[in-house]
Amino acid sequence: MIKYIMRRVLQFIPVFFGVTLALFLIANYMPGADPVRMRFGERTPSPEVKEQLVKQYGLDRPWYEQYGRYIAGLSPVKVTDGSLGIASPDLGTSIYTGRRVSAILGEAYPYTIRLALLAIVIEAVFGIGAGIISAVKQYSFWDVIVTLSTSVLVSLPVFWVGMMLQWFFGIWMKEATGGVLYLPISGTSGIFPSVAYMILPAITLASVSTAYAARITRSQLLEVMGQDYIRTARAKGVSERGVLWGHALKNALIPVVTFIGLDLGAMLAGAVLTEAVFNWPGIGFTIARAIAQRDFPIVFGGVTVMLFAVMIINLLVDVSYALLDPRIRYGVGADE
Amino acid sequence: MAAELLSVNELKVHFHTRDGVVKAVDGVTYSLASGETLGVVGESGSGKSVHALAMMGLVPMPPGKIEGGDVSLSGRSLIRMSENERRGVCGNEIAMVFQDPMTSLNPVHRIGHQLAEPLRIHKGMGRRDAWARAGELLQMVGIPNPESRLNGYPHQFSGGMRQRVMIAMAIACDPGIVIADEPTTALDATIQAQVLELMRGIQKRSGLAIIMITHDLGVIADMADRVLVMYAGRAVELGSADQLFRDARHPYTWGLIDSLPRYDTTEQGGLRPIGGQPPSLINLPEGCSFGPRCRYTQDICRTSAPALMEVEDGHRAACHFACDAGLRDLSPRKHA
Repeated sequence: MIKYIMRRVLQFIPVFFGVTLALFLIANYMPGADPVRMRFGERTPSPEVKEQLVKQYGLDRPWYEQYGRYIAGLSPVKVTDGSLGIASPDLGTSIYTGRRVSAILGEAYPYTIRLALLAIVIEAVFGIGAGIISAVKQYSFWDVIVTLSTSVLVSLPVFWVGMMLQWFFGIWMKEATGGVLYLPISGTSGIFPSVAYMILPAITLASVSTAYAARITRSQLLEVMGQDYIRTARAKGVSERGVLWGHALKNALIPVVTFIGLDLGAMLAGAVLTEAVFNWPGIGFTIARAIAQRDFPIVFGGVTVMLFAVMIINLLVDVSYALLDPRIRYGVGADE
Repeated sequence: MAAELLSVNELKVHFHTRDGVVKAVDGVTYSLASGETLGVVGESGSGKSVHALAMMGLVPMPPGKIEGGDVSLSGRSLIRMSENERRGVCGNEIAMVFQDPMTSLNPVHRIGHQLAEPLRIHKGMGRRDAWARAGELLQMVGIPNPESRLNGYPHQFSGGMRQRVMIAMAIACDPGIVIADEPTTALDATIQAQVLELMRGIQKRSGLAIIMITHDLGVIADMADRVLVMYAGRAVELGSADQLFRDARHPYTWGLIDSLPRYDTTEQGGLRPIGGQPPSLINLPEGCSFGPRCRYTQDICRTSAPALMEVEDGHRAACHFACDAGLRDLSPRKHA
């Protein structure tokens, strides 16, 4: 297992270089990609100021040199005055605001993490719950409700779901029902005051994935319930409840856990649409704005951080896979 | 004959499908004494497995339905008892070994856990006691290093070993009856012999009754005291193994015996299969259901279904000509 994790960590290296390099090339050949002009907007900077900024950000250098500098800045091991030292990774400075990229991302990331965690909890609880109910009571009223609503949900655009939720819970409920079930678009309310402002964005972010999680759980559980080992359990005298919780669920949830885990990775990589609809100052929102402003240091820094988040989550998912399914043991000599 | 343990009386199991009613089991009657081995033979679809699954309450309902008849185990009706009562009986007083050991064990649970489960359910044993007993059971079925094997998962066992585990699981609560549904069909020939030998040994020690469902007459000759031959959901012949192999009265039984490969003659011509296909269980032919495939069919066979009639002590056959010495002389085996 340790060996497997080591190997996976080593695989980070080519992925990291591949993604950052691709990003640099895109930025370099992107039309209208003049960060200095973007910074001044309508005004025209004096040639001296412009030249100074271009020099400061190394924009006059060829792209490979810029890339080299960026990587060198990221490296925690640095050569200063001929001697090796450890320094925190440097993500550079925003061209638009002049602030440190690490500070900007440091502000944005907690918002994204908070939203992603709540959304994942919603997805796991309601997705798996609905999937179980609909599989156990196959073809019942509840199964029809779950199957229908998930098919509708997966085909709705996220931003539209977000806007509808805002209108329904944030406006209609407040005015028409006098505040029953009112959820604020931002700020707090009577119920769940500390997380009230997170509920609607989290539901929006979780909506499509919850529907998928429910569908995967349902189909997996139905498949597992038809397996021979379920019949064996029944023949032993195990109760239906014991069959479901003790024998079927662990088998059925293996693919669901994978799905939800990978989804957490995707959410940590920022939910641009949800964050835009709710003006949520997370990393997706920040990067989207930075792209519009051609503020490449923020884009690079943001993507680099996302990259690590996604790779670490994926590794955790793979490791949890092995814990859930004894048939999977990574590395040589594990299966004996 | 020893005391009657199980009696099956006119059991009928039908499946209500879109295409019509499938009469999988359509009136089967026999009894089983403790310590006895009853072989149940027949082609695929003859109802031999379904009748056993129905006794264990393992037929999915719907579409399955027990249309009539009864099965009583030491005086209690397995068909009419409540779900709860039946769970207390299954795995405890009557246990089952299935055909495919590769898929009949739960892949995500340790062998020890799966073996301990019936003990904990039926005998109220604690985790530790049940685990210790599971080790003894593994030892009993001839698995070396039982203590360490208890911690293993099914995928770490070979097919033969898994079938031994299934047998250990079946005998865990010391049941009076074990139903073995083609226990050796999925195994190599050498392993088959070992598994049969194991079952015989256990039977000798504990005096349990075995219902051996198989399509392999070799297994029947090896194991069975009495034999039930099933065709299209009905019993067509029932008698001691000796009576059946020496003096079968039903043309279908002749066909089965005849289709065995033979090593004791130099006769040319290879295998002699029974011509034709088993009838559709939705539209059984009028009269004798074996009629269309029987080479001795007479007019009466097309109009009236033969009842199971006693041809000698303890030997019954469902053929209009079972007592007809003239026809019996046509038995191909007699010519050979």
